[in-house]
Amino acid sequence: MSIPAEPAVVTPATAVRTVWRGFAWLVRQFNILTGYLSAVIIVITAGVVCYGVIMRYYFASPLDWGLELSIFMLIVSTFMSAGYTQLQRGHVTIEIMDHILSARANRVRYLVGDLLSLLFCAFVAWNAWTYFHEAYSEGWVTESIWAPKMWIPYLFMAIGMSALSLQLLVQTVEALPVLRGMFAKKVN
Amino acid sequence: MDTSTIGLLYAGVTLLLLFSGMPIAFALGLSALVFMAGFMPPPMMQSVAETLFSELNNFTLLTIPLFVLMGAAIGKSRAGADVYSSLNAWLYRIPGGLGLANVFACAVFAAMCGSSPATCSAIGSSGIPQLVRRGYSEGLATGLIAAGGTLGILIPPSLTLILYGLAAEQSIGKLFMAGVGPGLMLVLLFAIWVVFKYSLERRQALSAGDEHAILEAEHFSWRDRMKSLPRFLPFLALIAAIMIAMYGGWATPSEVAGIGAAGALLMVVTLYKCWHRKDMDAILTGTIRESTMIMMIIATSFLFTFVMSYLGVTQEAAQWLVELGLGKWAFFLGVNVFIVMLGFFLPPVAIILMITPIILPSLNALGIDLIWFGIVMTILMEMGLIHPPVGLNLFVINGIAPDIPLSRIVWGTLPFIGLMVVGIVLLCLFPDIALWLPNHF
Amino acid sequence: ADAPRVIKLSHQFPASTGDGGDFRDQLARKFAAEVEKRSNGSLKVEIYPGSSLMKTKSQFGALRKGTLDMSVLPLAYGGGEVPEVTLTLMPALVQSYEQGLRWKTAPIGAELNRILESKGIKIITWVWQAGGIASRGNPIVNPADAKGLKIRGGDKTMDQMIQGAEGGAINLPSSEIYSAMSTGVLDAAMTSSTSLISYRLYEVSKSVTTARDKSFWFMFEPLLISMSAWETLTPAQQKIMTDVGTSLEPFAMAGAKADDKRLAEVYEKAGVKVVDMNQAAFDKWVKVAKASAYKRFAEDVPNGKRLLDMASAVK
Ligand code: NA
Ligand code: NA
Repeated sequence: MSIPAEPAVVTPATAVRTVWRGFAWLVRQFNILTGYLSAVIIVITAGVVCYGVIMRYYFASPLDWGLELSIFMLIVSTFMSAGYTQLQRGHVTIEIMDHILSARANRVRYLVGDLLSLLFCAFVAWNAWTYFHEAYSEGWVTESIWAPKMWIPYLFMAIGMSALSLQLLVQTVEALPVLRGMFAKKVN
Repeated sequence: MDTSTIGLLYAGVTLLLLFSGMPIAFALGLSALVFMAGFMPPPMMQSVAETLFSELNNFTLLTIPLFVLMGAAIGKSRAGADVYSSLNAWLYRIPGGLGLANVFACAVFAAMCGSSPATCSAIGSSGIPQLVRRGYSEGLATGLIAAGGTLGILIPPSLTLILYGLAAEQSIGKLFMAGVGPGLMLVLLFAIWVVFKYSLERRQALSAGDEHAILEAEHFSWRDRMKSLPRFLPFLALIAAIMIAMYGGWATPSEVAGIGAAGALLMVVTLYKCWHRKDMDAILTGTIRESTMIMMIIATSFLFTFVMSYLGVTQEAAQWLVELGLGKWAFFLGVNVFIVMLGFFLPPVAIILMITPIILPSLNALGIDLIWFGIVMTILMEMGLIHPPVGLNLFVINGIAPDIPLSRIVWGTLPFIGLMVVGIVLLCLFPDIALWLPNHF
Repeated sequence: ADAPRVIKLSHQFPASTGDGGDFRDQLARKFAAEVEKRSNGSLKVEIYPGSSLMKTKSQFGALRKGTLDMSVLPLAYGGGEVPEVTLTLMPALVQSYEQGLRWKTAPIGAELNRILESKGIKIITWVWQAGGIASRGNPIVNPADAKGLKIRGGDKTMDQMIQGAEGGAINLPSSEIYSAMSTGVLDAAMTSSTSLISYRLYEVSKSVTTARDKSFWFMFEPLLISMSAWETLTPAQQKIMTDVGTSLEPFAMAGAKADDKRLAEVYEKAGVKVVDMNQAAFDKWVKVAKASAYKRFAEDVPNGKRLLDMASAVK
């Protein structure tokens, strides 16, 4: 969660910039990819739900995995696309203050907002990783016959929240006035 | 620090964060985190991820992403525009006809879906752009969808009525029946407002004398209308499939969302030939952005609720209200105000779970009919979904129509909150609006 | 005086009012009142009924972590984290309330205590509860009646038994049972007598099988405390907790038994056909359960066979 304030003396600024841009590009591409995949997962979930209904109603052989698989896919898709949604600035904000404050004050306000968001998301990401670790090492499963491993959705929650945090980090750094011009890059 | 001070502080910090420009989801979460750190035992901090996870680990929530997908499939493809142009051909003579169609569409959808944000999203995705295109003000277009969407929890099936029924030990069947009359009453009130407001906007546009989409002269012959009729068919088939699946014992109300989503997708791919990359991109990215945004708010607002419940803020306030020892109508009024205030921050489910057990004995003692009260409470919670600062339906609309500022949505929705108040007054004067059906069947 | 130590108790059951209502909530309330009294106000138990604090499924993990102090909880819900506890809702393993309570002093009780305490949870009050089967059609008494029906068992081992009887086990959240029963997504549902009443399934059922005679459905639903909360109490406070906890066991048993009877009354009044399960039918279920749920438990759970034997040894 550390923000590279000043480039280290030993490294030429251009190298830092290149590395940073590469990193920012990676984060963006990862979030775009997982965003799309998450949408596909929702489509698949619709299919799973329909399949479950048909198997139960027409073939009287209910799935013992349909419900939990659907829930898990929903959770995976929510967290894995949180970074994509942030990239698109799709997480809704209350923008009433926009019209009251000056443009400059608004920039500062949004920067602070992004930083605070980063704080929250990084905390949840860290917490999700510890939960994943616990579920994995203790071998938690759900209480159903299918009994899928709980670490799987926790893992995706942890990855998703981490990717979201990195996305927030990239956006915050690129908005920092000190660094503007140095790291600034067009957001697609 | 005593509980009420903590409660006020909690509300204050949350407001501050909400207005800081943070996304709502993270503002609610961070505020919860701060109060966990400040006022709860240290191990609680380790339960944050599990708390968020536990809220999403819930099958009934699945209806939201799936109905969002359904809405996006129709709204982001030609299907939505198509059905609205045929609707327009039929309704263009009625002032506000298309607005009325949207209110009715919300009501029909509410009968297939137990969740308000899902109803809002499914109808709004195509409804809002179509209304705005035909000259409705953004405020009216978004307001009527936001308010119409709240019918999702009043018209059966309803997730919140089920939870109320369990908490208040009332018949869910009777509660569902009791929701029908008031649901229709609100539809009627909304419809009247839409016609009135539309006419007003049209008159204003006329007197301004400028060009305005609302004034565009249109004419459709009966021949045009008949020709557009087949375009309704796939939609009618989809609605029929969903209704049959739900009331015919194929699927639960949650599963119906999957059928609706798959059906809508199939429809736009086969009938509207939207299988190209560009079409699919629009549908998929639209779905994911909106669904994730809503689900994150739902998850963090549960974290927010958890902290509020742990600190006992809501419970203590409810207890205080009960101990005032008010008479029947004073208590009823107090509870109404209280629920509206809780609606500032809390989602309906949380309100039901936290306050029903505490106010129930008083409601009983004062002889207030619990079925009737459940309906009133539902309408109050519907108001909470569309009033700021935290109103889930407002955010859903903002997600569907990102170009329309939230403040305009809020102003457009305000009159509908007034109509809901009128609805509650009518329910107090004529309890049979709710109780006739359950008492006779 | 010092501020009292506040104990947070969460459960999923409807809040009771006065002396009526859900006996599990009443148990929590009686416990709270008595503990407060005996500790001269040094302990205060705050009750969160109806999942108003946390989700039903979160409670077990929260007790383990110490983020929740106490709960009245179907212990089998913890089966995903601690597979051994699945034993406490194993079909037909417990056959009567008295036998269930005898677990407490038998080796199986000591073993269950040991396992739970090593996982961070301690049992305060032993509570068993019987249940029945509500059906939209003919009553389900024998395993053959379940064949081809869509049934919600509500638990892994029950589902395994339903499958053993060639029925379709349906996994469904409890909030959806009512609508699923009313439209026919579900043909039948098994749950505790109290829940069969509070879910109001009599409005959507044609018949019900009660636990008045025999029942394969006995669920362990104890009052639990988190070990991390327990360890912060003084020895005197701990003694008060266990004393009060034990003193409430007869109340819990009476409450559960009363609900078995009330189930029959409520359903009868609603015009639902009420039937009981006799020994012969029960024996058939035992056979099915042994071939399905018991077998899987012995195979999948470490020490499963031993635990089953220890439990079966209690007469
Ligand atoms: Na509904
Ligand atoms: Na609100």
